[in-house]
Parts: sequence; C-alpha cells; structure tokens
Amino acid sequence: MYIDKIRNFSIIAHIDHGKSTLADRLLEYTNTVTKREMKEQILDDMDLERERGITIKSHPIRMEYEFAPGDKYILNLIDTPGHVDFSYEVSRALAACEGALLVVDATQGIEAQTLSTLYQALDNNLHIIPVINKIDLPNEQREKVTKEIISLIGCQRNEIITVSAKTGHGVENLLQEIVVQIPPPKGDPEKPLQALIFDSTFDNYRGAVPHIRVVNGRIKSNDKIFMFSNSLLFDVTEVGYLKLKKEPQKELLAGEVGYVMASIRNVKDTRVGDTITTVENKAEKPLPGYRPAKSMVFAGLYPVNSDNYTLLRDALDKLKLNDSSLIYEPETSKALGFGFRCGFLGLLHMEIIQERLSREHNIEIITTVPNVAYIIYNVRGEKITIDNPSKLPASNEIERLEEPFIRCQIVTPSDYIGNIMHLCMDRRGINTEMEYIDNSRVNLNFEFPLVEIIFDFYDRLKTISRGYASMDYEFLEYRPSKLKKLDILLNGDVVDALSMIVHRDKTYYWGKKLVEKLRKLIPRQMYEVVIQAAIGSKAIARESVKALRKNVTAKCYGGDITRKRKLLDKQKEGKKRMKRVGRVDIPQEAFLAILSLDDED
Amino acid sequence: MESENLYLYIHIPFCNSKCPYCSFYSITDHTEELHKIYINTVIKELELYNPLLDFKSRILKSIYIGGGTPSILSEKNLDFILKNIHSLFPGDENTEITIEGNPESLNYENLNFYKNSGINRLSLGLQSSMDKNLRTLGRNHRLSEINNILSIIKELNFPSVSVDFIYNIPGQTMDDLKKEFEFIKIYKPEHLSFYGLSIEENTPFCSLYKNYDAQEELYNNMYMEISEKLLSMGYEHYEISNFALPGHGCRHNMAYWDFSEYLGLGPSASSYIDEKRFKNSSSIKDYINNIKNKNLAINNPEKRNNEDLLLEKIFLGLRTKSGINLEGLCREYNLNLQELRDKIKYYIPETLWICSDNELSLTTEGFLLSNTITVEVFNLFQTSGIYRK
Repeated sequence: MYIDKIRNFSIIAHIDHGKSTLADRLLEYTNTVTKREMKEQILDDMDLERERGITIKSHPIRMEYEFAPGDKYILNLIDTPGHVDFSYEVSRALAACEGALLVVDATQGIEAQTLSTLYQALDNNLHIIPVINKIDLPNEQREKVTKEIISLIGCQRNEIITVSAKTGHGVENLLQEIVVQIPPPKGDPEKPLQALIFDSTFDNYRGAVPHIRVVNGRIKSNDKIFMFSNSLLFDVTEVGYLKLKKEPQKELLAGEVGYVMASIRNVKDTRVGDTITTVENKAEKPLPGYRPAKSMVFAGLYPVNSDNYTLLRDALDKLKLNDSSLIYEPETSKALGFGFRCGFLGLLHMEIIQERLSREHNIEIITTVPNVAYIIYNVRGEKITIDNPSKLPASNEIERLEEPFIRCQIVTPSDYIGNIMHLCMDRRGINTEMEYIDNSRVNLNFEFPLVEIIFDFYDRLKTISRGYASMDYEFLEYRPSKLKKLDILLNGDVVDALSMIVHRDKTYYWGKKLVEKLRKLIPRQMYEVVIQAAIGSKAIARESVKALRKNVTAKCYGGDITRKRKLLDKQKEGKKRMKRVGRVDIPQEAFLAILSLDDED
Repeated sequence: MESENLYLYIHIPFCNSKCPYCSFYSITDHTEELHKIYINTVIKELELYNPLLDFKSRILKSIYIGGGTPSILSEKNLDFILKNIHSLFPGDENTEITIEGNPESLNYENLNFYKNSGINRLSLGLQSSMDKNLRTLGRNHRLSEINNILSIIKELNFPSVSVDFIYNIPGQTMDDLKKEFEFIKIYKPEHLSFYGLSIEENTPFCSLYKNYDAQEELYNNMYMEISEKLLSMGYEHYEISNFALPGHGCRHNMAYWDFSEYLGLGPSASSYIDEKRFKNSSSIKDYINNIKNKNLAINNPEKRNNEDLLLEKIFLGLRTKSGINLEGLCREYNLNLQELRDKIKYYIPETLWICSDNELSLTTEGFLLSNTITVEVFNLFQTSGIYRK
C-alpha cells in the first residue's frame, strides 16, 4: 500500500549541532535539490533566525528516496522551532510525525535544549533515531556521546548512526535507517477526513495556507471543509505537496503531509493543532491535543517618532499575516502618545516582533515594560481584566486582585538543584514535585506566578545551571495575590509607560533596582533628572542623574569643519532615538530596563 | 557671507619633533631638498585653482601659514611662497598675514625677515609659561628662552601677536593659572587662544591619558576663571577658545565660522569653495603626486546635505559671541520664530544663552555645553512646524 512507503519525521537538535546542515544534506542526497540550487541552510527562511541560531518557522519538505532499485519511499521532513515560547507549536509538529532524528554534536554531547523536545517526542510515541553528527571534527568524542545517548533513551548501540553533515559521510546510511527504523503512518483513506494543522503560512494572493498531516480520509480541490476549533467552513481551491515550491496534487491521502488552499482570508482562522474535516463526511471527533492561542505577555508598542503611528499600524498588520499568535489593539499613553497594546506568546516572541519591526519595516519603537494580564474584582463586584498597569484602578476600588499562575517543569542535572530551588523560591515558586529521570537528572515541577517568569528567569536558569537546565510551562489558573502598582517618576512626573504591578513584599526591591538601573541608562543632559519609584503618593526609592556641564569641541580652526561636525552627527542621531517626556530624553533601553536587572543571588 | 573675498591657508608639514598631544599632520624626517620641492608644489596647486577662482577678481583677506612648524622653513623658501602669492592676487595693504612659530625655532633673523616681508601677525605656540607644564606637554622650550624671543618681538614691533595656551594640563592646578595671567599682564599679546587639553586619537597622549577627559569640574572651573580674568584685562571673549583686544580678532579664523570662502594648500589642508568642502590627503607623497597629475581635491568634495548645512550653521554660529540669527534662519527654513523661541526657553536652561534682537548666542557657561546646545537647537528646528528639507 502507498501508505507503507511514507515516512514522516522531524529533527530534534540543540542550537548549532547541525540540524540545518543535515537537512540540507538529506535534500541533496534525495535529489530534491540539485547542487546548483542548494543555498546554504535552505530551510531557514529568515535572517533573524540565522542570527539567533534558532528556527522560528517550520517549513516541511517532501523528499523522494530510492531505498533500493525500483523501491521508492516518500520522506516528509517536518522542522520544529526550538524555544519554550513555542512549545505548543513544537508539540503539534511532532504530532504530525512517526519518528524523529535526535541529532547530537559529537564534540558537545547531549545538551539541555534538546531534552524538552525529546521528551515531547517520546510522549508522542515517536521512534527516535539517535544521530551523532560532526564526526569529521578532530575533537569528536563519539564514544562518550554514544554512552550518553544510550543512558538517555535506552537504545541499542547499533541503533545509533554516526554522520558528518558537512562532508556527507554516513548520510546515505541514515536515509536507509530512516526507512528501516521509522514506522509508516497508520491511517485509513476511506474513513472520514481528519487532517491536523501543524503550521500555516500566508500568501498575499491565496490567503492563509495551512500545512496539514492527513491522519484519516482524503482531501481534494472543491471539497467543502470544516474547522473543528471555530466551526468555520471553506472551499478547497488547491491541495498539494510541499517541496521547495508548492506542487499541486489531485488529492492528499491519509498518512501524507502537504498544504491546503481554501481562500482563507484571516490567518487566525487557521489554528495550529486544529482538525480539518469535510462537511459531506464529517469526522465524529477532532484529533486530540488542540489548545487555543494564549498570549502570555503584554507590552505597549509605541513609535519613537509619533509621526510613524500609521506606519507602525500597517507594519503590525503585515506581521500578523505570518504570525497568527500576535494580537494587538490601539492604546494611548500620557508619556508616549499613541501606540498599541500587544499580546505575545512570551518574551522571545516579543523580541522577535520588535526586531522584525526594526529590520523589515524600518520603524524604531519603544516597548513599555512587559506585563501579564490581571483580573480585578472591584468593590462593585465587577470582574475586569487589565493588560496595562496604568489601567489599574485605585487601591480603594479593588476588592481582589488575581494574577495568572503557571505550571512549570524544569529538567536539570542534579548538581544544580540547590541553586535552582533558591532561584525559584525567590520568584515565589511553589515546588510541587521532584522526580529523578535517571541517576543524574531530575525533573522539578513548580507553580509560579507567570509574571515572575517572564523577566529574565529563563536566562538566570541557564546561567546558574551552566546551560544544562531546560524549562517548559503552561497556564494553570488565576489566583489572588497581594499586588501593588509601582510608579516611576522623572522630575516629579509619573511616566505611565514605566509603571509595573509588583508583589507587595517586593515593592522596595523592584523600586530600588529600577531607579538604580534607570540612573545608569538615562544619559546626563542639560537639566538634572530626578528618578523616583513610588507606590501611590509615597516615594520609596530615589536616584538622580546630575546635569551635564561640559560637552564642547574646544578647537575648531584649520578649516576641517566636517571632522568636527561628525561628532555632532553622532550626538544628533543618538537624540533621534530617544523619547522626550517633559524635558527628559529617555533612550529606548530605559523602557526595557526591567529586563536587564541583575539578580543578586 | 562675502562672495569676492578669499582667505588662503598654507600648510607647512615639517617639524623637528612631534608634540605628544598634537594631531596635525607633519613629518620629522625632511630635508632642504624636500622643502624646495614642496614649496614649488604648493604654488603649483595655487596656480591650478586660478582658472576656477579668478584670483585677480578677488580680495585676498588673509594668508595664514600654519603647520607643522612654519618657523623652521628657511627665509628664502618663505619668500618664494609670499612673492608668488602676491603676484597672483591684486595688491592689498590690508591682507592679514599670519605665520605660526614655536619658540625653539624663532630668532632675531627670521623674526626680522617676517616683519620685513609684510607678515603682520605672529602666532606663538607657547602653551604655558610654566616649565613644569611645558615638560608635561613634551615641549622643548623653557620660560627663559621665551622671554628672550618676546623681547625681540616687542623690539620689532609686530602689529599683532597671538599666543596659544593650553589649560587642563595633567598636574596643573587652579593656582597655576595665576602664573599664566601674570605672564599675559606683562606682555599683553593682542590675541590669545586658550585650548582646554583634549586627548586626540592616535597621539601618544591618547594611551597615556585615557580617562582624562572625564575631569569635568576642573576643566570647567579653569575655563570660567580664564574667561573672567581675561575679560577684566580688556580682552573680548569672541569665540569659545579665542580672546582679543579690541580690533585684534583673527580675521582668518573668523572665515571658518562665518561661511566665507577659504582655500587650503598642502597636505591635510581644508577648503570651503562654492559651498563645497574638500580636503587634501594627509600625505606629502600623495599630495606631490596629485598636484603633478593636476588632481585637485575640489574634484572630490565631501558629501553634505541640507541637514548637514543647517547643523554647520548652528554649530559654527554658536561658537562665536555674535551667535546665530534666529529670525533669518526661521525665514529660511519656514519656521515660526516665536514657537522656536518658546521652545528654546523651555528646553535649554536660561543660564546658558542670551537672545537679544533674535540673535541667539551662548554665555560663557553655555560655551562649555556648546555641542549639546547645538544638537538641541538643531533638534528644535527639525521638530518645529514645517521643516523644509
């Protein structure tokens, strides 16, 4: 049967362990791409991804492989993003596969980032093929890494494949093993259609294009389809395979991976994890694992130059086409003018959006302090959700304040348990479980207020565990907390964009840290800048930036005006990037000061 | 801005030793042979500009011979330069002719020659009257030699003498300044340049005194003291670093600040002609080669746009006591004058500037922040009303 010739798999790897290069090699060896067409790391679409060394958008690709003369197989490679902000997307991409290549760098061994995805893969019952890469390097330690792998996943020694993606050594063998070891998909093309959406892209002419794994049934042009998550109906205009370019097909059958075009105007109508079925022969139930999108982190985005408001709005509209998890709506700030309140999956997501705005749309923006959404029950019994700290009602109006809590899982070598427990306690974490995975690694379960995680928790965790710990989290519930609004004043004026909601026991801590950091970030200027942190009308911390008294080019003769002017050019460009609030010039970094505060552990 | 006037600068890139704080171009390995080739090249360069600038139609307002160390050039060579210049321009009794000299290389012979050849302004690179400061600065002359030269200068009756001083020297105290003032009182030079020591990149001082510029308070105190004291001695503080007795401002330097046309000859020399700025390369070898091939620097003017021009106008204008004409600039850039004045009042502390009759100029305290204020005023221009780009 055709379905026996299909292999759907993903590649799990730590940053820089060679996932992209290996993918390139597979494309090459299956002649999916000719040597001439090969551009380095063809699957990574964006420069941003290249720079950060992570894959953000997946890009599935279908390869044809001749296992033996006349015996052809279809190999569908589905790429996965590698950051905790996107763990839901990862889980859905893995749900579309039957196997995964676990790629480990022969000189580095198993690293933390791999673990979380590996466990998800194991949870999804994927068959894992361990691959040791970079054996061409002189300092490779394949024996040591082999032992680590065996200890981690309990496989046999002969199941581990060694390759060098760079030279191509072992790649042919790997292809053979993919066919031999990874099971074919199970599914019945005659049953009612159930297709899993594991990703989608946006095409300016065709609208949203979901990438699907057909689990049961079949889908073809002119089918009327139904989305389980939102009950929307669409008419299919085209289906096809995803090779380097889209290849239209008559139909897609159970077990196959491909795309669907159905004139879907709004990208938010295609939800990752959703199930597609046909109207005529509707499936009884959707596939398991669907979760609606949830923004975890909110921030105000404002253009540095207020004239660019419309440009910002247009840019956000364009970004949203490719990123359905971004939400935004207009808001105003006394300090910053007109802007947008945006919701993100996490801080990394927020940083990506910021960089894309700057790079792809050339807009300099100010981002306010990121925050979470709070639920307030006021004295009149009304329930209000606020996603902007400046909208917090006066304390005498508030009956009860609730903040979102998450369930968090941290996997770490046992050496670092002490430091990590300390960090988590510091962040109001409650340890709910601790279990040993193997004799050196432990899985810690915590419940945290989400707000304690969104600021530099991940980075701190990495630092104190020397990069070995990894984490994953999901929303748990809202719980009441004793919280206060912390205001920042510059020369006596509240700068609403710098306000934060903090826990009552930490107001002094955050207040002091913030004003100290701001003092370092706000440059000296003609007027002294007095920085205060306040709760209500009470100032709790204070710093000042003393007035600048000297900035002069003493010598200006000899006629070389241009050289002297260049210094002024620099100063004038610097000023353009600052936001003026009252008489104070504030650099963009100051608005994000909170993100780079040092913890004294 | 005057259109028929021309100001001439000639660079003499030769020194006997390099001062550790100096960033002007010069070489210490030179011969009389090279001097001869050099002066011929300079005159050749000048002649090459004649078709474009039409010297006979110009009023030569100043000739400034700087360096390097112009006073080590032989009288014969200097004479060659001056005679050739004079032959190209119409005669003018009023041309300000300045030569820079350092005490080590000045003597009765050359000073006398300068006087007789029509040089009417002497610029002395003294830097300090105190031996300890001279040592710190790596200068080879001492107070005793200076006194000698100065008495010769007095004897020869030069119409205008300018003396350069450096302050904020490592090890120099507020008290030490008194010694400089005493010196000035005795010799009463017509013109003074007081430069706060700034550490320039690629000079030996740069690695020695890395964080020196951070000494804001002492620098400022010295500057205020110098201005106040010199004012009381009858000097006008007419530019950030320049002071003059009435009628003795340096005409040549004023050209740099008021957008007059000036031509700079020799390697590293800068020019402003026809609203273009251009500069010769800082290499004698390349310079001689270029002139041989008739390759003039005006063919590679610096890229400037309207924004740059506005910034220059504000930058250069605010360096002088007369400041910038807000009314004129507002008309030119189509801005509301009152709105601009209100903004200046709000954003720039009042102790730093004066605005009378719509001329905006800086106070002494303001001079110390002239870069910041320049950028601020520029910023206010850009963000006010309709800014014509």
